[in-house]
Amino acid sequence: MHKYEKIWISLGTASLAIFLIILGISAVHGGHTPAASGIETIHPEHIREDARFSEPGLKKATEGDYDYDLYFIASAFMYEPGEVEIPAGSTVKIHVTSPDVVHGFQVVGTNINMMAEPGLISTYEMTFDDPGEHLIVCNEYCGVGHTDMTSTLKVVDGGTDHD
Amino acid sequence: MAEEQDRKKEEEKHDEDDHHKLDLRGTFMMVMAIGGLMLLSWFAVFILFMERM
Repeated sequence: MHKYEKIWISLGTASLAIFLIILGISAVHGGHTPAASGIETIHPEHIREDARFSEPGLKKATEGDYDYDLYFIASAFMYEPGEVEIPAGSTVKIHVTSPDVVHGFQVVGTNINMMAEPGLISTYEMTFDDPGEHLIVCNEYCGVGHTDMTSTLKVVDGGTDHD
Repeated sequence: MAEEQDRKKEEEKHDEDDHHKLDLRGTFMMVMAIGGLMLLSWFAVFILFMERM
């Protein structure tokens, strides 16, 4: 075998080995758990009877080490609430569910990118430090109104400071 | 005569299989360049992800 061939074949094999090791570690660590393991469930037809989702929006957290709970209902073809204000510097736990079909929940410019599935409550915890406006979009094709399905997340000054 | 031709053909074929005699510098450079590009873009996306945490 040519000397150069040996070099690139060993580099390729090494990167494959590293990839498999990273995949193996992330499969059991760091929150990369399958959707069905430990996720909270909810009956999709009775979402609005649940106190948390009867009036979705920002609520002061009563437990945990974060400041607010933010409840979202993603349905065909809208988000509730259609607009939400978050005080800058606060840590928010977002809860999303769907009463009908699978929707997406992506907050543009952040790492928040979840699926909103009927029967499951998807959550993501994040601290919003910089004031600004983020668009929320659906990125799971859900029907004819899919492209119009948006909401706005506004991070505004005058919130809790804890930096 | 025919036997000699056959042997010559066999030798040529053997040369083709023998990679030691090939000039692979250009191939090597392109393989390394693509590998470098993949590594660079992996880190670019990873840094973007960490920035947004």
